[in-house]
Amino acid sequence: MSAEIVSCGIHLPRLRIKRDEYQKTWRYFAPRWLEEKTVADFDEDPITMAVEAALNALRNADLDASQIDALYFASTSPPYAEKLNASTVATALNCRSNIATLDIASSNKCGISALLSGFDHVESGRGRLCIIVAADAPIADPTGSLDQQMGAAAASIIIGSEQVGALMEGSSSITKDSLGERFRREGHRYLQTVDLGRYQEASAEEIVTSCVTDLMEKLERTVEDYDFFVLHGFEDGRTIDLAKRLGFEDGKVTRAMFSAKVGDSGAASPVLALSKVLESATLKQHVILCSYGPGAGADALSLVVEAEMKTNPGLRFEDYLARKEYVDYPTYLKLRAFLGGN
Amino acid sequence: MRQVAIVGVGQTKFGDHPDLGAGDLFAQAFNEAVVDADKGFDPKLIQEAYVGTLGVGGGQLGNFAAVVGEATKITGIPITRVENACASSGFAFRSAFLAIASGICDVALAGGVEKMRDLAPDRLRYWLGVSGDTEWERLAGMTFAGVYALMAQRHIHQYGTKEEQLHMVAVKNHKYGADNPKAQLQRAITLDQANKSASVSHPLRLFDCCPTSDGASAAILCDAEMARKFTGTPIRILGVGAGTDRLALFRREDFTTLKATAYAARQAYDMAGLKPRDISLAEVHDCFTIAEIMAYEDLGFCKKGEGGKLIEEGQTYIGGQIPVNVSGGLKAKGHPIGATGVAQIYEITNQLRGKTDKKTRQVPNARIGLAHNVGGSGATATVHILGR
Amino acid sequence: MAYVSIPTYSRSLPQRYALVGAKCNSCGIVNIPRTLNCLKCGATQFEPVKLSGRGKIYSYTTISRGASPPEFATQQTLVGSYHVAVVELDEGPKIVAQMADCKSEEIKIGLPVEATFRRIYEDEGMIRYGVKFRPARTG
Repeated sequence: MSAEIVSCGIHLPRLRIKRDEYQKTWRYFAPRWLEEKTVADFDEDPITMAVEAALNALRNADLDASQIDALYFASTSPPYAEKLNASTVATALNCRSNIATLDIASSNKCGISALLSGFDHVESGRGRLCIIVAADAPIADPTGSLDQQMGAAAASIIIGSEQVGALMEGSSSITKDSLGERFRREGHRYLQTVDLGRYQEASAEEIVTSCVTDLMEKLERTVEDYDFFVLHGFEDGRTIDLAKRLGFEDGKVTRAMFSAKVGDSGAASPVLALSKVLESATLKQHVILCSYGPGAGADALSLVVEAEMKTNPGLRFEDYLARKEYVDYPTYLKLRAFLGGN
Repeated sequence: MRQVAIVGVGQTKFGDHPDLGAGDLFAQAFNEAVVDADKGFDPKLIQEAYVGTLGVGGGQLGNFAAVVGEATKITGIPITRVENACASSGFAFRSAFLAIASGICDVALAGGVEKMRDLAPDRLRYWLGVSGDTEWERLAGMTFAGVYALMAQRHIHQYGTKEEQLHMVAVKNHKYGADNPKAQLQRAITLDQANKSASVSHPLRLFDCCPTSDGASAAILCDAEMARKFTGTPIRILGVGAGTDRLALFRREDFTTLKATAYAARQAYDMAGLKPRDISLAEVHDCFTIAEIMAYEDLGFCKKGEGGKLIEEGQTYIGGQIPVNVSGGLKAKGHPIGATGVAQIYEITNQLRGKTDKKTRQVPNARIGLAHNVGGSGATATVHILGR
Repeated sequence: MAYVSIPTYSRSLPQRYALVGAKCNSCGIVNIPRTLNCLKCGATQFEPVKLSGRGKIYSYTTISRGASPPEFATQQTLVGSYHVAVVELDEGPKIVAQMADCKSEEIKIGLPVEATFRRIYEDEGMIRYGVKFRPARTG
């Protein structure tokens, strides 16, 4: 059974903080690529953001939640470490009770892992419509530089076997466990990283290169066959470098980049990027995506647009970017403390 | 149905009573009522007692009747705790009336008591929200200030009532409260102060909201035929009414009226054979100033929507069309939840006898008085009409 | 803390999370929250209907410091004042909820609004979710 992406939906929190606010307090700002980023409000979290994104995905394709056969929820910062988050999202959407639900976690690449599993769900005949939603609001120690880039976002993709959309042509995966890159121990709230600079950069490059070239070889494709290269897991400058080294020109890469305005939204980033690209991709265009998981490996997939995605007015990426309200640094800290729990 | 009269009333000062527990606080009001029956009254004559209380902050939720009995030394007879939120003692008074009117007994005690000042802030705010719709209104983030504010907004929207008119109610009630030695707040305020006070739940500001209080009230009722044995000035109960409405405001059709009040008022006026223009003074349930404005309309003192005009024209001051809350109302006198209903009866009784403790707030030639008591945001209400 | 038990809260999740109303088979009005008997005609047979989440503000207020129930004390400390509205939903019934994503100046009676899924409060270790309303987005 063939499975196609039939709809996408996104959500960006309304609140934003500018780099200037950090500069005022800390006099230094590590992620030089970041202009401003999204901030989850006190009453938002990955579950609430997931619901918004999923509702948008349904609306964009005029689908009803009752048609969903499976819901997969992906996040590195789920509100519950134990108690399925996907079932809360499913109840909020008013899905039927006889559906499959799954939580996927633990890595920035889990959003795309969820997408690949979603394809499996539909291709295997287990269900006709599977919705995946990646929603994340990772946080790190506010006194450190890692937190400075952390944003919040959600993106949802619906996969179906009976509709035409973006066809998944193939995928590849690399698994390589390495230490020190972006991790969070059980029971800890803050993300950590051991900054090993060039060592990690080299390892990441090797992983991404293997993953992407494996896929292209499998499909007998070259770089020229693709109109878009979506690469997430790195800051924008490195993304362009890596893409260049692989042979992709800037024009194919930048359409999927937005971190300068959104921040690092963990597992949601690559799904958000894919949604953004599919919003404007036209018939017969090809998309190759690689999602890097720090310390874990990468997944890559190749898509071809067989029917263009519809996005309702007001729900486009640009619309969400434009709907914003700035907060100052003390407010940002208050919200972080609130979200960080007691 | 027999005629019923009030022969003695008592009320503690409202405010802080750190030295008295709920039972003793009620006993203080009770003792005063006994003495108030100026020809002499033996408490052993009481055959039924109904005492209203919300629950004393949860300190003694069950079997409060026993606390009442012990404190007043009337243990032995049937005593019933009545709970209808802020209308508890209004309903207690009605139950005492029914017991005598129906012939079940000849002499009954009605009253109420509440202790709220000894609760920690969080506990108090929890307690203040238990009489509303918990599952939906409260979880939308509101206590009663919020619910009454929603009513005020609609009244402003539908009738053009002005926010300042709300504050005018507070100014009036504080003026009279300043002359009431038993009031919790005995300080007059200016309209300017009220207009500028901190917002509590827009459009209600600090002075639009009644305080929390300790206090108790008591009234001794008996068959009218025997009343003159106990007092030279018995006050007759001419009309009794009570009503209910949906608990949650959002489930009501019109936010600008309390159907329970209108229903209770109709019953009371009908029983008394009287009309609103026959009333000499009224004690109404001004937990929030908007509640007084709505009460003017629901009790028939003015047309629907004209409550704001009535206060602005000064018609509810002594000398105006219908003096309202010359005790200071809940606003300045205080609002110990369970005690308020019978405290209104206390005020009306003294006014009708011409025995108000400060002449400056005695309504001249007071012949017929109306007491209006509401529970929560209007889910329950009583109206009693008393006459000389 | 007001005690809204877990079973009580859970019973109403379809209403709280997804605004699933009950359309009376006899008189046709939509009941939300659920009741055994139709609020208007008293009948007891209903058909579930997922409401659109769109409506207009019927009344609103701003809860300032000290006026919130203790469940919302932390929220009040964090954000100061917050807004609560009674929303008349397009399908007929009125519902009460907090406002989100809006400034005081924007709120007025008649404002078109739409539901958004948010965290409401926490109790007994569980996050209690529900809907709030934000100004309806055009388009």
